[in-house]
Amino acid sequence: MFVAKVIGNVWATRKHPGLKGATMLLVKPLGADGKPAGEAQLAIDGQGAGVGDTVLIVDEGGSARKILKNSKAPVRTVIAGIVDKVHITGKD
Amino acid sequence: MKQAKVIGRVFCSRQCCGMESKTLLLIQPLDWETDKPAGDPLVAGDTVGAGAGETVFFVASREAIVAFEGWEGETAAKAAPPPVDAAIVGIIDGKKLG
Repeated sequence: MFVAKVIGNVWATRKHPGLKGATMLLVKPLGADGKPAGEAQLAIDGQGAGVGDTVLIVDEGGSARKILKNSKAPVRTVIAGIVDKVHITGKD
Repeated sequence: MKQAKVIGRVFCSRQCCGMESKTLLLIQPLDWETDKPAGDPLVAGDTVGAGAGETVFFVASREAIVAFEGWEGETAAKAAPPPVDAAIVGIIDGKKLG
């Protein structure tokens, strides 16, 4: 899992039946210092997150399908939670 | 899932088990934020009937096979999923950043 920031959203009417009704958000992984680090990815929203939120991403198919309660969803990247605070020992 | 542009199609007269009826499209992965090509073109199985020039998003590795596995709603007997490692699962209508 990794922490990421929601930077946008994508909509698509013609998509795989397993993604029916899924909200698709663009997320950018955050480094330990909280700054964006890495490539943006498309994640399926499982928690009602919005643009600008900091979220927790699960990046594995089996867990993703469990979160979405949909054994046919061809997805790996799913938003599993909305992060309130990241505390790093020795800082603030 | 990554963004990609469909740049061509691959036709094989002889194919491995289960791939016969699947459309194989040549796609160029694009970066989500800059829409610039990111990485080399690859061949992906198509599940949504994407056409040349369309912007799509695709899944890789295990999820590509999940995308082809049988679907409750389907009545026809479903052949075994093809041994693919990338599958197009949607055609992007629009995208908003920021």
